Amino acid sequence: MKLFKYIFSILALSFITSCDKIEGPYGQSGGTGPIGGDTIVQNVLLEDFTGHTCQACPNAHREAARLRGNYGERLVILAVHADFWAAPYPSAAPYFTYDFRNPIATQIATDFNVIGQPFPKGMVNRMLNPGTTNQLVLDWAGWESKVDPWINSAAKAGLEITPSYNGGSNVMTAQVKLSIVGDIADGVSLAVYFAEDSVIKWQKDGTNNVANYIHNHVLRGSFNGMYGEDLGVLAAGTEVTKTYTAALLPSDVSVDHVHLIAVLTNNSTKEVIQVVEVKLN
Amino acid sequence: MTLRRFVFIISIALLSIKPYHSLAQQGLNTSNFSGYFEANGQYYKADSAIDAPEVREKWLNNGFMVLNYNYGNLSAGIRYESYLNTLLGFDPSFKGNGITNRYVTYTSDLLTVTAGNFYEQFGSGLIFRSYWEPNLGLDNSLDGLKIVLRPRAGITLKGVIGRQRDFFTYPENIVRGIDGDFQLNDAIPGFENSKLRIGVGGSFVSKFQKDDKPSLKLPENVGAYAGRLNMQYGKIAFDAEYAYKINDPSQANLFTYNTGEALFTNLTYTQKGLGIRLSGKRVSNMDFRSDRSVTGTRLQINYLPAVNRQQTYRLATLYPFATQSLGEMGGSSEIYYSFKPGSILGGQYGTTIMTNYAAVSDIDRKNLDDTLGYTSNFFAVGDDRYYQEVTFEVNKKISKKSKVIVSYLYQIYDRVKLEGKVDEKQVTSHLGVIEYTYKFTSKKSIRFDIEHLATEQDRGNWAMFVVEFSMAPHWTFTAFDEWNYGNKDRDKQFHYYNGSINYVKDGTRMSVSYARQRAGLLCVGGVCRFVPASNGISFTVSSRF
Repeated sequence: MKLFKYIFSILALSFITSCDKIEGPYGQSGGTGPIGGDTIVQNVLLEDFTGHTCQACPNAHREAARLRGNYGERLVILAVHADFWAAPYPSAAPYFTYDFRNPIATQIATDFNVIGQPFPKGMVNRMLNPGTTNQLVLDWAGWESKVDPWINSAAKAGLEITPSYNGGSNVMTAQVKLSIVGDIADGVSLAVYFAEDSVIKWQKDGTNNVANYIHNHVLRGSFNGMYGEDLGVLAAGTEVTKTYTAALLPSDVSVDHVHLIAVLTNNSTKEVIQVVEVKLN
Repeated sequence: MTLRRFVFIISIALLSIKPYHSLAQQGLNTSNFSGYFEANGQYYKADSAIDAPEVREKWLNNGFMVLNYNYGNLSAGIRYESYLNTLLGFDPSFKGNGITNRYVTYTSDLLTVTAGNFYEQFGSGLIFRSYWEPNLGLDNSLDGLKIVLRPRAGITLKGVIGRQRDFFTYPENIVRGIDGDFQLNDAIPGFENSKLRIGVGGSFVSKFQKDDKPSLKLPENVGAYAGRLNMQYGKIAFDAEYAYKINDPSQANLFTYNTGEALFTNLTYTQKGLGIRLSGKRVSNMDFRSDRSVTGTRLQINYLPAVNRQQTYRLATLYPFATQSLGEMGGSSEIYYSFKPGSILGGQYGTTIMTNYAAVSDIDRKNLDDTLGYTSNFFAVGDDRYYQEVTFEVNKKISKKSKVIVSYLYQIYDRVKLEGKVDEKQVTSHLGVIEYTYKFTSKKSIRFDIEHLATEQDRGNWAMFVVEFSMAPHWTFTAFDEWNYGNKDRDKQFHYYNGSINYVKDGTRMSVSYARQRAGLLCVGGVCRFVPASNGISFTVSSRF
């Protein structure tokens, strides 16, 4: 019996003294900067599931912007407006009457089981949840710890987009050059999305209703569906060039704020292999 | 491997275990097998008028089976859960099925040890409570080891260590804790017969999570302490618990580094026919999880009790209050009194009245910078009133065959702060309820429930009518209609109707219902989940064996 008491006391003491009280400053330099030159680098796609009536969503927007500041163009952000958070809220008219939703955004949120979850939520390179066959859907505080390892990993593919826009026909063209530089055992698919920056509309931010909120990276649509074109299994060293066209929609989109995003995904795991973003105009 | 084969193998394995002591000598030669099964399924029909979404699968289902086996000092059990796919309103991350709980426990006079999944609570739960609430989709069991030591009468020591359950996985973060409980009347010789009964307790819980955020210095070991006191003298009882948590930057508090604390107090007086309760609570920055980057009901380590009353009438649940772990200060009082049969107010069969008051506000805050959060005067109440309720209820048996309950509930509810709604209005509502039950025979009875909620905010007034016919011991038939007749938008003055048939026999219950259900919050003990609107047929079966 005395032995139990001694063991328990030692355990208690060790527990009680095992606390990390942090003194300021609390920030530290983190992340790696982009690698320049001709080297193909691994970029990361951050899909931020959001909505204009989601009061906590601006915290996620700010975190995405902070990470973009750290990682620059190597972090590609898509704001996926979906579920009832993105729908018009008629009883609050004239506020929150804009419909941010579109079929591609809804399909992404549905296929990855984000619909029905409390927003904001995000995915980093659509990575799998370890030990499951589902994609890992994260709260915004978990994004950085997943983005950083991806940024520091070796790229298996390179992507380049050459964009063009015909104002007369309102048609965008995306010529995508794909280079496979590593071993990819599974088939791959290439999708090209388009997103818009600087969409000025209402947004709930905590308990405040913000009239002229600047919505960036708003996913507006796709050239070729959610998963894109199935290119099959491609060996290392393969180079493929594909050209896609699409009408610029909806009608209130400003062409000067549109970006094209090419995403290469693994057909089996649905994880993102590579992503690149370029301005349309 | 089928479930049936798995259960058979487990049963044979458990039956093969030889006990440590000779059970025949101890006279403990007993064993039993028990279990519980529940399945809830719903067929969904899209109903755009009430924003009930289309469900691609048409039929969604949550279910589980629990099996427990006891043999002398040993007990063991498993739980299998199935979500194919999850019912609307539950986190879709539950999708799938598998074994979610398994344990083995050995108990003796001196100690109880558990390996596997376990539930435990230290004191009120301010720094540690693991529990399972299937109605909320909440299960934060620890998978690890639990030891309970009883070195002498009146002293209980507990130690826990494990990883928390998160849907069908166990993240690598570790939770560990110790608790000591001392009932002095049992522990101190000569104090056993004192009229004053005193208990004291203390606990410490900490979590370990790697710092994987390159941009911040995060504490990997976050600890929380708590101390408690409970006293009883005759008809008066008092208990209080205080908790303190060191810096715990997380998504919930936007990665601020201030400490957290909570205080919970309760004073009661009870005698035959009279009960009085006073409760007080203060919480500051006490969101405590084993993963700093999750929210909602996931991976919570602690539990903060609610001071407001858990309302049972349906229209009273339109505006439920959820505990605010980042900061709240409130109190409540409740009095019930029974007038004796034969007295003027008691009538022939007696009358019971109950009244309660509860109010919860924000704490006083003086904001500092983004990393230090705020400071707060412990005894000052913040300016924002989150919730307030006043209830008055009379419960009277009118005759041998009938009884009536009349209730009034006044609520103030801040929808902007509590639900994040875009409306700017605080809801003030008045709810009146009359519930009448009549027994035709000892086996047949009928119950009527009429409710009316009046408010000028939100969706306006509601009326509700419930009729329930019971044929004991097996059958119950229920129908009700909630009507939002006061909605300013005439096109949204919907009827939300529900009809159900329930059958009970021995330990088995089956229920079929058809409902057009409004969206709302379902809360249990101050923890809530959102239930979306739906239209469809539900089927529930449960069985205890």
